[in-house]
Amino acid sequence: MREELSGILEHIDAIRAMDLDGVPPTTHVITLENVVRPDVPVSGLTRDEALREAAHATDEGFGVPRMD
Amino acid sequence: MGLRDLTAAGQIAAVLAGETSSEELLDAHLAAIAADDVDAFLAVDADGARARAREIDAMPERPPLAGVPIGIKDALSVRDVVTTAGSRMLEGFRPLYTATCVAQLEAAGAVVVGKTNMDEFAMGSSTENSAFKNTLNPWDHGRVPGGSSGGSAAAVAERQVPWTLGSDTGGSIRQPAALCGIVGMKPTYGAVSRSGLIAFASSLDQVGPFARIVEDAALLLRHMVGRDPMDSTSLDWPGEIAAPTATDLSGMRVGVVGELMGDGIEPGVRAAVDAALGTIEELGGTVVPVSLPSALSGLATYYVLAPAECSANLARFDGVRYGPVAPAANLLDQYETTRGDLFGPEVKRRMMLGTFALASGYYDQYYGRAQRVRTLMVREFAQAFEKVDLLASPTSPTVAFPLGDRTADPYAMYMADVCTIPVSLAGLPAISIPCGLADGLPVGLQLAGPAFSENALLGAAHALEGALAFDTRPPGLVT
Repeated sequence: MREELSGILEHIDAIRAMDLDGVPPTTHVITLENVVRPDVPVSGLTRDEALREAAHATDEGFGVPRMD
Repeated sequence: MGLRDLTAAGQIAAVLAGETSSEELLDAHLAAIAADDVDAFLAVDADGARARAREIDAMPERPPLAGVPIGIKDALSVRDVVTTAGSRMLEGFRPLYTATCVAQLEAAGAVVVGKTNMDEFAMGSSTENSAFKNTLNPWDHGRVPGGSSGGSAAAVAERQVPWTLGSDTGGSIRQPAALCGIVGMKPTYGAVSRSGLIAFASSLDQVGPFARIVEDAALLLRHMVGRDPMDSTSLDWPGEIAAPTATDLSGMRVGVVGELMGDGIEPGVRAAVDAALGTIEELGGTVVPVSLPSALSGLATYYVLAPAECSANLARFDGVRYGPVAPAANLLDQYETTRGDLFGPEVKRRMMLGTFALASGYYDQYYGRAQRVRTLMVREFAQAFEKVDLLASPTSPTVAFPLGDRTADPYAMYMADVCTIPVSLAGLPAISIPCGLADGLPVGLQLAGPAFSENALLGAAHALEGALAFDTRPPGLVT
C-alpha cells in the first residue's frame, strides 16, 4: 500500500509544478447562495425506523460497546 | 424480433398499442436476468417489480414510461431493496427511503427490477472493485465492462433491461457505456437530485441514464431533472428535456480536443473517432481543432479532489447505524475493525490519499492547488465554447481491457478516465455514444457541451447515431 500511494503521489505531483499564480480556487462549479427551505416542520424518520438497520440497537438508541 | 430487442421507446409504444403489457415485458427481462452470464445484477426484486407492473397494467391511463423495466446502480437507494454500493460495509442494508431520481422515474411509470453491480462506492473503472463479483463485458467475457457503473452498462448491452441508471464522478457512466457499446450520459452538475445517492465525491457526483439509443436516454433524463428540496445542490431545470429529432448537424461547430487525441489513445480508438468526425462533416457540421491546455492535468487534479472528498463522505460508515459491524470490546476498536475489515483496498487507498491531501502542511500543495487547476479547466472550457457548440473526443483511451489487466497498478486503472475527467471537473454535460469497433470491441465517442446544453447534445448525438448506424447487439447474444 505504501509503495502504491507513493507511486500515485508521483503522478499527482505534476500539479505542484504548474504555474497557478493569481488563479483562484474553484470549490463548486455552480454558484448557489443561501439555499434554504421555508422554516416549516416536516416529519422525519420515527425512532423505530432510524434504528431498523443498526447491527445493535436498544429500545432507545444505537448500541455500542463501552468507551475506554 | 423479441420484446427485449425493442428499445424502451418501442416497448412503451407496444404497451400503449395493447400489443404487450408491463408484466409481459417484466417476464421477458426477468428471464434474461435469470439466465445472466455477465453478472450484471447484485439484487433482483422480482416480487416488488411484478406488483408494480400489475398496478400499472391495471391503470386506465398508463403513465408516460408505461411500466417498462429499469435497473438501478447499487449506489442509489431503493426503499427496502438491499443497497450495498458494491461494498461489504453495506451488505444487507435496506434503505429507509428511495432516491429522489428513482422515485421520479417510478412515478413516471418505470418498474425497478433490481440493483446493478459496481465498483465499491463507485471507485474504479472496471467494476473489479465490487466486493461481491466481477461483471463481464457482453462483447467479450474475458474483458471488463468498464466502471464504476459496469453492471448498469452490461445489463443494457445484454438487453436484460432497456435502460438503467448510473452515477458519474469522473467518467463512471460514460466510460462503461463506451466499453459496452451503448449510450451513457452525465448531465450538468446539479441537473439531477442526488438525494439517495450514496456519496463519493460531492463536488463531482451526478446521476444519469444508460440506454441503447439516444432517444431512450433523453426520455429517462426528462423525468429526472429538476430541483429537489432534499438536495441543496440541485437546480431548477430551464425548460424540458426534449425528444431528440435532429437528423443533420448543419451549422454546428464541433471542436476536437487535441490533447485527448494524442499518443495515449489506442490507434483503433483514434481511427473510429476520426471516422465519426468525418461523419459529423458529412452531416453538415464543421470540425475544428480546439486546445484545452490543462486537460491532461485533469487526472492528477481529480485524484486529489475526489479522494479528499471521499475521505470525508465515507467517515459515516462505522458499523453503528447501518450495515454489518465487526464487534470489539470497546468503541474505538469496533470502529477500527469494522472499517479495516469491511472496506476494500481501493477504497482504503483513496481515503488515505484524501486524508493526506487534506492534512495540514500538505493542504495548500495538494488540495488547494487542485482546486486552482480546476479553475483553469473551467476557464478553458468556457473559452472553447466561445468558438464551438460542442467538443468531441474519445470517451475512453482504450477499448475494454482484459479482466485482471490493471488491478495491480492503480494509476493504470485511473488512466481509463483521462478523457472523461476534464468534463467532470468543469461540471459540464457529456454523452458517450458508440461510434464503431476496434478489434471487434466497441469504441465510444464523447460529446460535451456547455452547462444546460443537454438538448443540443442529445440532438447532435441522435443525428450522429442515425448516420453511424452502430449495431448495439454483442456477438452471440440470443434474445
